[in-house]
Amino acid sequence: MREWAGLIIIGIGIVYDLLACVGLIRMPEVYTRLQTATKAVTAGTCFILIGAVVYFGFSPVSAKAILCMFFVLLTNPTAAHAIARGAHSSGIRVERITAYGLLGRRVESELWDRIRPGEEYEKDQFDYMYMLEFCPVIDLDGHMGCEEFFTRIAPILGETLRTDPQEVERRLIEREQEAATALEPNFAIPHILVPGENAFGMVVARASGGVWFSKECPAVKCIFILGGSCDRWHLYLRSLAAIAQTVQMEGFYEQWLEAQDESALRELLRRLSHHLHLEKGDMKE
Amino acid sequence: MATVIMIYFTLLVVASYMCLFRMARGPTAPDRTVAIDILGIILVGFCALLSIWTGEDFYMGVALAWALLSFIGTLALAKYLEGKEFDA
Repeated sequence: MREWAGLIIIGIGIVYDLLACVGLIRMPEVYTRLQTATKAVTAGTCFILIGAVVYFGFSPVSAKAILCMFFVLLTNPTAAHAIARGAHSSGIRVERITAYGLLGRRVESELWDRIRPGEEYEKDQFDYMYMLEFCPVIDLDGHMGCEEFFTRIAPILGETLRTDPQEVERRLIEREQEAATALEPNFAIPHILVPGENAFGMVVARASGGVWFSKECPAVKCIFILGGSCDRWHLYLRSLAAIAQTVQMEGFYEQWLEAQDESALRELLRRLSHHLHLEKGDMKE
Repeated sequence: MATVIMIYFTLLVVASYMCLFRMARGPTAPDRTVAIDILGIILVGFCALLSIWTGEDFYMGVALAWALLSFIGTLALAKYLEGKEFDA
């Protein structure tokens, strides 16, 4: 009787293991596979070991099985965490469709798909919109030199690019020495290349007191900092074009200075680029 | 009872083959690492079942050692994925 009870518990565990492996095959990307498989397999193997304990009753084998169960419960989640961390830092992103649904921009994009399906520029524009939505926007007080500004920006950009902040700072300063990045008296786009691949990021900053870039541009108040690796060069050019169009829009600079705080700045950027987006669409038709 | 255990073995082998499939298919290194980790844990269950089938208790010792070794192996692979040195 006890043997049969043990075997039934083992059966439950094996069903768990099988379902976990089905998940391993069916799920679309690493993180979902990881979460389906590791949890279910931990449960499944623990059930098998509990079954073995029930089967053997009070004996040394049962003690080993309990010890084994303890180790599986302790080590397997740790290993899963390590893999997820490794996957993340080796540059694998959560698939956009997953993140997108969570972040609640779905309705807008579906609407957009319905209006103009299957055109190339849409996706380009969308990437920029997506970036604007999630890039860090910061508001700095007081007047400062461009080196001090870069020192304050570098940790934020470094985090986005997964690159050492000091390296980012060094490259920004080098880039600035090569050629001034301030395009107009109130607008600058410092941009750098970083080593590695699959990295691209943008930081938008407003400096209320202005940043000294050069004699011609002593107090720049609107700064877009771009950074990326060589293989993301196309995103680079595209973003530059989009930024240029955004800031040339009528009344941008006034609204930029008037905005209350960081979220208002983000909202402004988002609204303008969306506007741009629609205008471009009209022109195509 | 022997039949039931045989069915269990078959199911575990099927599960292991699913892991092997994912290991072969990839498509990325973390995918393969996940498959290796899962395969290790399934084999722990396999060893437990083996000790029931044969009545030998040392298979449970094998399971115990396997659980720890596969953990260390997975950690090493995860470190490799992070792109760090192993002693870091």
